[in-house]
Amino acid sequence: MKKRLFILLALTLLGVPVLAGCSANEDTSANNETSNKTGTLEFYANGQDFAREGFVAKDGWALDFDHVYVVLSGITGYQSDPPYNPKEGGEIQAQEKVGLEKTYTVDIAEGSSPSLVGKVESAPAGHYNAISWEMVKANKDPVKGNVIVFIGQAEKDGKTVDFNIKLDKEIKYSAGEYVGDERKGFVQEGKTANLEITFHLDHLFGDAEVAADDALNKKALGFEPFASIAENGKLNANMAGLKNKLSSEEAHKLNHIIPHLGHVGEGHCHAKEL
Amino acid sequence: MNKKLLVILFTLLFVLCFTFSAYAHGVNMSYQGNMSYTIKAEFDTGKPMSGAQIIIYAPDDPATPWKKGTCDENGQYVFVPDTSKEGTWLVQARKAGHGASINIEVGEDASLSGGTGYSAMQVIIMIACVVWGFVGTALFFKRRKN
Repeated sequence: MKKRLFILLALTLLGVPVLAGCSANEDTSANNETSNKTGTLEFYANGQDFAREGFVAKDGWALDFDHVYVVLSGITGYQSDPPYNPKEGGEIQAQEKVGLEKTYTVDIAEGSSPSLVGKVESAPAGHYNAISWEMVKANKDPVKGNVIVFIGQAEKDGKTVDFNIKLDKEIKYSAGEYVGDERKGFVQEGKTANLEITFHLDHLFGDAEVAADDALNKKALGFEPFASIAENGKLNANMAGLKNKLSSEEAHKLNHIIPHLGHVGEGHCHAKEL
Repeated sequence: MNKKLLVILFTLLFVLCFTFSAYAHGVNMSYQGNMSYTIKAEFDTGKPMSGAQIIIYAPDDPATPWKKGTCDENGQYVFVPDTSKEGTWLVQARKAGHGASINIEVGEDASLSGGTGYSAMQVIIMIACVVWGFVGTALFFKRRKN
């Protein structure tokens, strides 16, 4: 009997180190519990001050936007693991994902802050560290058949151009975490977090506040090519019209720039033409 | 009795040592050989992001900057993470409206704190202990009958 008790005691002790080893997983259990918790995830579109307040393009044209319409679809937030690397591209590997089902036409020149596109209530708690969306052709006015439309006035040396520039190149953007003053996407139970789709208009028009030989301005088209094809101070052109009127080099540059308009804050995206 | 006692004690000692060895490996001793991380930030053109702002987030408080700094003229920044804060660290580099971020794993592999709950080593040890318990008990009673 004494031997049996001793053996049982020995076998019980065998489990001690295993239990000790398992103690490291207490946090995991806690994490699993949080997966049952939900909060709200909002999606914003941001044209930055470039769109809302206007700016001076690299070639000296002062741009003021009445509207900058972007057409967004398939907006999805992901809790990705491994964290998505837009440089590598590919599909986002996600444990959780939530998204907006509709297609939205958003005026990112409106107001004084980023525009709320939509929100998902009851989004599983966790860190949404990746996002994807598509920029698609609208099927109704004011931007029917286009993915992004710039409407406004440009002014330089007393000359004025009223422009309505319509682009129709459909793009799917995939991005990792927002890069900016704060991290975004931390959904906690009963609380609201947000993700942001950011458009950098300076990639298209350049920025007079940046050095002329800066890579941004070297790659940007500027506004002069658009001004040069305006007639009687007006430019109303879609992609096909622009391709006809712009030089082949300018048209090629424009075509190359469009996929680079979408960002997440200051972070770049993987862009795929649809 | 003494022989049995010695065998059991030896077995216990072996399993305990094996387990603690695995534990020591679990806190990633190899990371101690590379305690500092050199971040290099550059633009697509290859031009270094000299003077870029660096913001580092630790995994225990991922929404609050753990440390801030500035890249040198070569776009480099060196930091030493607190290895007691295991998990995914995030480092952001920003300059002139453009930036990027990278994730750095510190401590045990992220899968340890991910979905399954147990590492492969822990599962092996658990199975080995259970099997040994059954086998040892069976052998003990079988020998007693003989």
